[in-house]
Amino acid sequence: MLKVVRFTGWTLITGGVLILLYLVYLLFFTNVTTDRAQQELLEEWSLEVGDPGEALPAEPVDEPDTDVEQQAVDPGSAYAVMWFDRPGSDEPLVHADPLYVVEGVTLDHLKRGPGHYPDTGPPGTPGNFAISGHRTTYGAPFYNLDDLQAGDRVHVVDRDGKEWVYEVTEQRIVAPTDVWVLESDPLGTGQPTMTITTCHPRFSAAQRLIVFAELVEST
Amino acid sequence: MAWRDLNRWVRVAILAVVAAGIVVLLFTVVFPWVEQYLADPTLG
Repeated sequence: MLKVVRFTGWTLITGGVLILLYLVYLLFFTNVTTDRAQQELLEEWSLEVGDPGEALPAEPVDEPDTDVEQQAVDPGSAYAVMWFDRPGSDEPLVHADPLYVVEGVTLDHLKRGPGHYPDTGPPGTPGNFAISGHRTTYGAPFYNLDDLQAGDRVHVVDRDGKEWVYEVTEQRIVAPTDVWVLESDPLGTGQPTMTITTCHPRFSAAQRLIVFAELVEST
Repeated sequence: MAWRDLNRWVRVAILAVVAAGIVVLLFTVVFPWVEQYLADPTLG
């Protein structure tokens, strides 16, 4: 009887330690993986595109450019650079550093950073340009995505070095099955749209937090 | 040489190396596999 109790006790302790280690892996170790990948993407971007801070300055857009050609980008490679700002504020918004976006949204792609949904368009074109990223784990690029308010700006620099600026219009919480958010014109506005998706609430994948933005400036 | 005959600090060092090896194995092989097997970012 004593042996059974001792075996059960050690089994439970081992299980508890394994679960704790798995949490440490998810919440901390995965950040190291993504930080390293973002550094690689930064170097790749610097070599192939240049400094994102030297992108052609964006100007207000009247008509979306229908002639923009999408460069073929290998899945997992750097697709764009994005950052957020709030007009009139110098405080970093959502994420302290610019985020290097990769092509693709599989589990492996999102380990490297936010990913571009391959079935959606490139930035700056009519239709929907959609990005997904982790809310927690793997660098948690969109941990503070819910800080965005209507009027905040999303800057995107593509591989041609062109900058596109989107203005946040609204946030929604939807079910993971609500894939309509990735449709060409999800809000029916007829405007070039950017959709950012991430998990909601934090530390859960039960729902999705969606941020919609409209194109307001381009190079 | 029996385990108990070893110097105390040698035993501690061996246990530490084994524990570190297990953690490395967990973090580089087992946990990524579990994550892939679950096929969903468990914590979002």
